[in-house]
Amino acid sequence: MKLAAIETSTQTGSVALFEDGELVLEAEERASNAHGESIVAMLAALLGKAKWKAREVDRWAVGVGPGSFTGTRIGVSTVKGIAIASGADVAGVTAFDAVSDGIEIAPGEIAAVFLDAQRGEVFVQSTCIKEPIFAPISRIPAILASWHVERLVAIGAGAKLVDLSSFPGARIVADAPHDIPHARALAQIARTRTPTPVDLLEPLYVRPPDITAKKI
Amino acid sequence: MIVLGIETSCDETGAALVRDDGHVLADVVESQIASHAPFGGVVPEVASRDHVRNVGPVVRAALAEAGMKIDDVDAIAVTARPGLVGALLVGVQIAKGIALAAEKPLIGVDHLVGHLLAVFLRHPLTEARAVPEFPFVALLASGGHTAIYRVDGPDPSQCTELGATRDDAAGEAFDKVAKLLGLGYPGGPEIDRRALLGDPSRVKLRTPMPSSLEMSFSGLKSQVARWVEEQGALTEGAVNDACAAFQATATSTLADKLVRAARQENVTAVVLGGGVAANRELRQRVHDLAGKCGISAFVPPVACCTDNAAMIAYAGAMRLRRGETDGWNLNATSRTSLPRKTRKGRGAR
Repeated sequence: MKLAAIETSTQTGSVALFEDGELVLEAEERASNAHGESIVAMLAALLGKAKWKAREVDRWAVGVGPGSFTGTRIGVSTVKGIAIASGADVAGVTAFDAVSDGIEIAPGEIAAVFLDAQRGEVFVQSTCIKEPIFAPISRIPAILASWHVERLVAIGAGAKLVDLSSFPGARIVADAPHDIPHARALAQIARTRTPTPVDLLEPLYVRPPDITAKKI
Repeated sequence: MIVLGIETSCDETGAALVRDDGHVLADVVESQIASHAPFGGVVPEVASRDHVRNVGPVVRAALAEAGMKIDDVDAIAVTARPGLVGALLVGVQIAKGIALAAEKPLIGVDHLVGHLLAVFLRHPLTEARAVPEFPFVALLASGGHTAIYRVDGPDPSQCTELGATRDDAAGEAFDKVAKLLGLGYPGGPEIDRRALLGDPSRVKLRTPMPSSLEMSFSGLKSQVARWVEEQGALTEGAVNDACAAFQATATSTLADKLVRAARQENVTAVVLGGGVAANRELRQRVHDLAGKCGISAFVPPVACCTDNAAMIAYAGAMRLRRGETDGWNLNATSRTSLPRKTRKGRGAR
């Protein structure tokens, strides 16, 4: 099975191609313009190098965030377009799942994933909460304390932004590949995922839209 | 040649299939008005979120309406400018995805050029209409743009701005005046409806910049604001009178300048485009005034004036005819490719 993955929810965009569970090719690039100009060019170049046609890919994995709203929409919209034209399966993978992929959690440990939400805030997901949240970095110690966590595993580059001094035994896993979501992790997760109906594929925003009252 | 057009520049998600002779094979528009109405205007992030949700079903609905598969299409055209960048990017990226997987050319289209060429669209369910020949003078009036162009051909380099608004777009002024009068969003249709019930002579409004092809709608809106302040409590009748006076002043300004521009350019055809061209009084005034001056008025059906993807597909087909396509690095931008002559803001020129 041919599987391709696209990740655009942070400034580092990446693409990975897998065949029958093996990595064929991958590429990664930092882009300040939310990947609008670069990601499809990068994908097309990688497909060409692998001598694949986009319509031959059986499944497309895409990062759904949370992250940059515009960046995430770029990846999701690209994959929607491909799926409309080729009929391929799609699988949306959250940045929380991508960042924590492959990390073993020992009995008694509680994992929390922290992603940089910009503006002095982080996105947080943990088994201690039903839905992911976003909160100011300064409030995170109090939030963690309210969970009564004894052995914390803090995952993701956002963990480096948070003051974890009140959790002296915390295990921090914040370096690559567990810093930000990468296409390779998306592909590995998407291999065994039930496909997402293409019309239900949407970014996981977590943060509501900014709404400024219109001036008269 | 059949082109799939995609439009996501503002608050309408559109997809259409159009032949390069202008015949519309399918035209689907999903409006976001309900999403933005509580905020009294288009909220960019809300628009982008709605586009992501709507664009897939809208594209498939257009293909189904035309009874076609993506392989039957010759190219994918998409609005790449001007508009809300986040909203445009949704369409641009979905178009790239379709073009990549279907192995079709990708064509970025200037939304304003789409509006200027919408007069050439032929809908199967509407009566056959005459279409203008180049050159013509067109008024493009919408919520984001208001300008008069001389159009010598379908290429953006053949479109010359003759005058534009120095401040608010005409559609923006309709929305703002509606808000001042306590009416809902969007303001245009409600003002149009109430104008029929009111007496324009009961509210005195000055025509802004009467001697120029340039326009100003901010001052007109301020005149209504001052009138509202003077009234205190507004009766239904007073609101209707204000709607009638504002609409009469705004539409006569637009119609006068359009016809004056045609005479100045020695051109015998005028064309209307943009969402404000759906306004009943503007359509009538342009028709009447042009007729008096021996000028032919081409006023497209309302569905061709408001934002739609059929005009994008057609403008894309014209680019493809010229052998123009775009690469995967096609980006979205808030600026039009049409050169702007009118400087924004106050002051002498």
